[in-house]
Amino acid sequence: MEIKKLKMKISVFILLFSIFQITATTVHSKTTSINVSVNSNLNEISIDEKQNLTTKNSPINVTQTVIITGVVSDASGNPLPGVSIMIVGTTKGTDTDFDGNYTIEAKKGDVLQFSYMGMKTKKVSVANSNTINVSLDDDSSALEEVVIVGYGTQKKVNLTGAVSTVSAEQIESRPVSNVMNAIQGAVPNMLLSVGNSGGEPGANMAISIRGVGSLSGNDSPYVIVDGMPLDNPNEINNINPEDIANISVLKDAASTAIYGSKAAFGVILITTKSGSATDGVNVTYSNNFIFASPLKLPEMMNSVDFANFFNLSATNGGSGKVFTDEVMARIIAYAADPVNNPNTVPNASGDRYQQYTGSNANTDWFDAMYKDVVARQQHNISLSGKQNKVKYFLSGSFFDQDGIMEYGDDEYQRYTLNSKIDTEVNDWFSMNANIRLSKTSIERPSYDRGLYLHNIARRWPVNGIIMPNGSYSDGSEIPFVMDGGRYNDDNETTNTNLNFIFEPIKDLKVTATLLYRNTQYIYSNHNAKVSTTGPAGNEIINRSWNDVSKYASKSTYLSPNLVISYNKSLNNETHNFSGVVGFQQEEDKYTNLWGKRNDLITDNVPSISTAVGDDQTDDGVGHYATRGYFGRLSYDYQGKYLIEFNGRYDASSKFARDDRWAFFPSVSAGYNLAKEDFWNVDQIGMLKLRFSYGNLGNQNVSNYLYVPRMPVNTNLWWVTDSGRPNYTTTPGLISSDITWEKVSTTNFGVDVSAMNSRLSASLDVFTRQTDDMFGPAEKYPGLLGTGAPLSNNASLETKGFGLVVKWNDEINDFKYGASFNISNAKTTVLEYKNPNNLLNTYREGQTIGEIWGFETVGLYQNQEEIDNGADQSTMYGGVWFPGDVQYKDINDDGHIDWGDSTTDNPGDRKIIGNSTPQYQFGLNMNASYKGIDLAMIWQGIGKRDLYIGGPYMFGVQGNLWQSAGFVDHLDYWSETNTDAYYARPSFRSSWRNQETQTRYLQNAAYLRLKNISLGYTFPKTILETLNLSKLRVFVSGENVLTFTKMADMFDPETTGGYWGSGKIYPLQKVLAIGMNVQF
Amino acid sequence: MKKYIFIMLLLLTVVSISCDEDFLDRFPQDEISPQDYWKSPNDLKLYLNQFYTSFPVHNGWSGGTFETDNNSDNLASFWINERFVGNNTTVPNTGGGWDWGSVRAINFYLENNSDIEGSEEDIKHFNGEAYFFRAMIYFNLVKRFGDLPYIDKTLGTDSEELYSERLPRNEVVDKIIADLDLAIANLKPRNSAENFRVHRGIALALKSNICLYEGTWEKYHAGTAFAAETNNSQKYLQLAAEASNTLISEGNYTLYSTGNVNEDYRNLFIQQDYAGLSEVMLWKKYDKLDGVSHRVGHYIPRNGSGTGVTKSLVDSYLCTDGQPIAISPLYTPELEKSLGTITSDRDPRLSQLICEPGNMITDNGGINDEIFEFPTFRDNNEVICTTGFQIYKGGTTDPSEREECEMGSIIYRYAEVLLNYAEAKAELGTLSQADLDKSINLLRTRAGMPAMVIGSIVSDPNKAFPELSDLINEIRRERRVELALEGKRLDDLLRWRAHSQFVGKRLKGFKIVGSDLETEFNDLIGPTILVDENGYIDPYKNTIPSGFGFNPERDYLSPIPTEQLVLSNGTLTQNPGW
Repeated sequence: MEIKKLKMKISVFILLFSIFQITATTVHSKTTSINVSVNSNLNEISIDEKQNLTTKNSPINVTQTVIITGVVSDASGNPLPGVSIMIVGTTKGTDTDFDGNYTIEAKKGDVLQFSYMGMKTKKVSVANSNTINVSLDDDSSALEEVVIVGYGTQKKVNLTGAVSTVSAEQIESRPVSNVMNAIQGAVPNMLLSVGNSGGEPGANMAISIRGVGSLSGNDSPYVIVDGMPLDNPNEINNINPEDIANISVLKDAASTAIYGSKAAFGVILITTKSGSATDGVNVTYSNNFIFASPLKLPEMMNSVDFANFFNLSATNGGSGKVFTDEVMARIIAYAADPVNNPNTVPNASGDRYQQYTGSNANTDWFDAMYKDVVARQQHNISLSGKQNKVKYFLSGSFFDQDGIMEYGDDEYQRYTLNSKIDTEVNDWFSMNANIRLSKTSIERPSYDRGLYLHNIARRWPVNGIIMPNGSYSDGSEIPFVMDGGRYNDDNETTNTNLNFIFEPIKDLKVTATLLYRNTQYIYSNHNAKVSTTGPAGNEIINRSWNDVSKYASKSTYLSPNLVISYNKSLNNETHNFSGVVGFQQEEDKYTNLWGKRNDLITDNVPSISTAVGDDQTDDGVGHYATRGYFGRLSYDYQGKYLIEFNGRYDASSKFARDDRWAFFPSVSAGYNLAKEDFWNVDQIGMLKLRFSYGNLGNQNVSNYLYVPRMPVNTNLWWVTDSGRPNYTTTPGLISSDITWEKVSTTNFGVDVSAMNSRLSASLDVFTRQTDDMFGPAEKYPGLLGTGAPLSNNASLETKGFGLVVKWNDEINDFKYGASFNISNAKTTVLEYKNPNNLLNTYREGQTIGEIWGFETVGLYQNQEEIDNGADQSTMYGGVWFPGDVQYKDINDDGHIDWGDSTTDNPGDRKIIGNSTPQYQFGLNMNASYKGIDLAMIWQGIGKRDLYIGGPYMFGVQGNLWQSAGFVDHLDYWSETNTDAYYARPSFRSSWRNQETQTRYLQNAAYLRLKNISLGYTFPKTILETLNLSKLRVFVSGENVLTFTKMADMFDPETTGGYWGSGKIYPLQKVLAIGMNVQF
Repeated sequence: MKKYIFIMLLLLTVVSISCDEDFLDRFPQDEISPQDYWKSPNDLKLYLNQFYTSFPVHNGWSGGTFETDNNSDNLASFWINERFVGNNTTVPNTGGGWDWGSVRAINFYLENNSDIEGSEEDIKHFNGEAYFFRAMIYFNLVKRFGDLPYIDKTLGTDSEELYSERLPRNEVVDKIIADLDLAIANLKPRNSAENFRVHRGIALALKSNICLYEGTWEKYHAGTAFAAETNNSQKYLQLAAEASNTLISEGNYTLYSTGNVNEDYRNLFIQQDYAGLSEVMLWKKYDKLDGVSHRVGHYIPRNGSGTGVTKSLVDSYLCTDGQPIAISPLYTPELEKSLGTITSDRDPRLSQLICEPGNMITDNGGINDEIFEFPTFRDNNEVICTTGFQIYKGGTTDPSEREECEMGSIIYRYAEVLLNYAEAKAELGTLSQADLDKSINLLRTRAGMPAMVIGSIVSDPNKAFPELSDLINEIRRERRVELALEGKRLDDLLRWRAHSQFVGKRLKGFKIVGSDLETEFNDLIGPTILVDENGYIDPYKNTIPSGFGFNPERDYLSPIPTEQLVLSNGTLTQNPGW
């Protein structure tokens, strides 16, 4: 069906092409106009894309050879080394030297073409002057831009797939912790979201391209750095952001097809900086000094409000007060005069200070547990240059990220080293080597981070930080994070990439590549004994045991590749062919070892060797392999009609022999209307229509799913005469015929460039369908006694669009530009075996992210409303009170319930929202004037609903140990506050008021000023006295402003948390100053 | 030419690499396939180990098994038992205990144990363990849900048995008994079985429990919605009596006693090592250094553990003359005025159940000893004593047990077998004095109480089950007293259909008004310590003013989760009342 439709679409397209072509040649061929503007003063001709200089009659026609010299510089006057200068129509050429100088022998009337990556090519004709100084403009427009694509590069103008790019400038000099932070919001349809680790030092974000692709969650993009695939997208953060020259994001199947088995959900291609094209050496140093503070912290109630709030919640729940009158009096006294009153008193036996119900301090624990501001720093140095036939680039960086925890410091450090060497051995053989090393380490208290965050809100304001005797509170985490031992990890990755490039004949290139990665990860975790001092000077044991564990793992990735490519242009670039065939094989292995012993002799020497408890050890070994053959064939006619075919035949060891191999084809086509002769809208330099369709396979599942396995476990929770026994458990069910997920994408695109490339826009509309998807295990009757195996059981469809609009202009010395992107993706389940339409799993027709919930009528104001309303005793059999939530009887059956939790009978629930982030957008603005530059990056989500439960949202939960009291929670129902937001607080059965419902649904849309920076580049005159070639200083801020309608205790980006919503390491607001020097 | 040789070599390498399909065969290197397993008796043992964690034992931050009775009328937990309150009106969508994972796991064993080579005796023993565990797993399901589908093999996603109907409960119980008989026939006796493993005596004990449960259930639920399809109560009671009698007459187990009637009972529960105690048939050992410990010592008897012994339990203890408090001349209401006197002249097990002033809490060797003065009314609700009767049974006084506790956790003890025997015989109407003397009277002797003598049992005017004989009443009383706070009470109430014991009532505690504690806690009485009109502590006064709302037409069995009804395509039917 789908294919038939597609074929029709293709035929229509081809038909349209032909008609246009005929029209073009018959009607407009004679009216071709050539627009040449000649500025005789500068001997400079600016030429736009469709002009053909060779057809133009030169005004001067003298054949006298002269030596032309000059300097090539960029718009701000910095000399440009390595600019290539060619005499048009000949093979004669040269490069500028390190200072931008060049010398070339030419004839009057010759046209010199100056080209440099990232700059607009400029052509200047030789006139009377022997000196031609040229300044090249940044090519911020699309026309000449070269885009890195799979196994090659392509002019952006010739792209037929859906590809977005991020340039170095968007990343450079931002005081971000890592690459992920830097690219958030930069590209349409690439969503970076903060995970449960929040803003922890070293935390990663989740990346997805074009929304949900697989219900199993394995839909992350494939990241390739200089040809080396990363193990997972998180490793992107091991790269020094300053090393990046360019990022391409390949989104549709046609663009990613050549990468095969792991590229089904998009590819992020990162290219790092390379050596310069001319002899000499260029040194760049940059740094920034960062001051970070927590972005958003909830505000706790003061102790008096808190005590009253908890007392009320307790009595509402039917039990006695939490705080007795005696304690209450102490709380009030301390709040009024903290200097002359102790913050707690000893207990009856005098060995401990009272905490919680017996304590009377007044502490905002969020304030206490986080630092107000923390300093960080980042340093980068790079050398790039060329000597004879060897080009090189070397860089090193150091980033030191202190965390914001007040007690028990936490820290992340990153070191990177990148070296790239290109050598031309002879005219048909060259090689390059790229070695990239990174080392990251984390050091923090061993105390469980999730639990620490969970407990901050569970420390009541009445608990003090420091007890009257000067000891830290034994009821807090402080003694544990300070003295309870440390956790250290260390991650070292070496990426080695060797390329041997043969060019036996012109246009034929054979590249043999060997990729090798070695990752070593080590951690050690020490839990120390912890004690504090009681009121009588007695020792209070907070943790009576100690232990130490260590873990080491090593994984290696080895991949030989062979790629043969051939390019041919015929008839003076009328017919352009290129083809690629290749072979790729991958082998990935890991092994790990873990050991632990209890009972250290001393906590001062935490080592397994110095512990005397029983040994506990475990190991893990695993491996997988893939193999693939691929090819690409592309053809274009005068850059007007473009077509490309890709195919890949892939195998993965994750599937059994019979299900292992699969073929995935794709096709894409483009039509650049503006290249047609008939096109006479001068304002529009490019108008290109694109179409692509392709299939890809995904094998991103666990290893060995088709092999039955019996788990062997150690240390049963049972003690015998010989310690804790080992035990085996039941094998899970397997799917012996599990095979590839098939992902097909249809993409339509339009690229426009107008007003002399000042305005450009690109729109992609896509449909991606995932078939034979690794859906979550289907539901079977509980009698099965185990989960169903992962199988190829579902199908999904994601539809969406991505739009980028850019504007760049300059008015004299004032340059400014803006780039706006917006995108959306919506995913629907097409197939999933859930015949009963159960709500708690996927079902056909479901939009991913649906939130089912009750509709809230309001809060009961009086007993009459309870008596007259729908019967809520079917939901909760206890007594309902005024101030409780009144739910709407949607199905009109007189009572409120959940039905049988199917779509056919959802009780009184309906779809009340959708949690998928929709309409994500980014806005980049920049302006510069005479060395001063200002830039802003705005980023946000246009539409998102979230239902957040838990104590941060509601304050009061089932019992007082899991409850919290924030200032926001004071707006609860009482007879004097009938217009309250929150229901009557009650410890027992508070869930009855907290069911998923419309009243407490959050609008999680937001707009955030991610970055604003102001820089100053010193003018040349000053630099010369300092002997520098460039000096820029800047001040920059991250997460500066946020606009959202979310409940006040949540940050819209960090609503998660390992232990519940909001219990997360906060993101940080950052202010930084820094500099960038080039010697 | 050289360049072409290079390229040809490259291509040749690729061709030779890519011909090797074995490169893509990757099998697990740290896991075993079932085909490589199931060879030796040790494989059987390793697999069965997993089931040893399913016994109810002390665990984590709690009062351990000593607060399991929070689900009954023996303890009044701060967190009131919602089943008794009758508030659980909603059938859960998922979960709800409808868990068949262990059934699958044990069936997997029984499908793979046929080709084992090794000691025949060991193989038999392990197979016996497997039958034992299958019986136990099914019995727990029967208690919760009643009628059940019976699955005796591992199912696949396309098995028809996934849609099995529920069999009447006694058919399921018959299969359980068949498994137990196989277990009894195969298991080694205690003296030759490995320590900390199930042995023959435990299978007999479980059989006596299950048969008594089913026998009394069918007897007392007869004619209700929870009745078995055919009432076979006599058969099960007979089997219960036989199984317990076998254990008694084989004489392998004896009650723990040093002759100290005021301490033996309490000391039984606070040992770290039960290896030498014949009464303790199966127990769980703890070892801090191995990382296996619990926190019971943090709560009991240091604080109230967020609960308290109820007046109803306290009142059921006889006076030392063997007579109930309603008629014994040894008892006067004056004794209620102090925690120090309420245990006077009472069954010595009472003073070993609840804290009295002067009780040792933490024995620091005479220096700074912690002695019980008052119940922990002033503590927070996690550790508050709700009734004034603070738990003492199970409380160790060893200071080293306060944080990580290594006190063992008793799983089966012989006393229960004795109680089963007496009850089964009494229900059958065949209980003789000799039967009493070899069962209940052994417990009475250890406790320092006069023997129960048929014919001279006095009728308690406040007897719990007025419609039943005095003998049955006294046997049930003895059971409640001996097994107090050991997690047996709920099962007993359910199988006796004893909702009249608590429906419409609230659990009470110590009569604090007018007591010697009144002055000390004057500020709390009223706002924090809720009391009833007679001055008794009334912890649920505000929470459930009208008492427990347990619905006898519904709450005897748990509901099957809605999702399971939907997934069964209609073959599963819901339990009565839900």
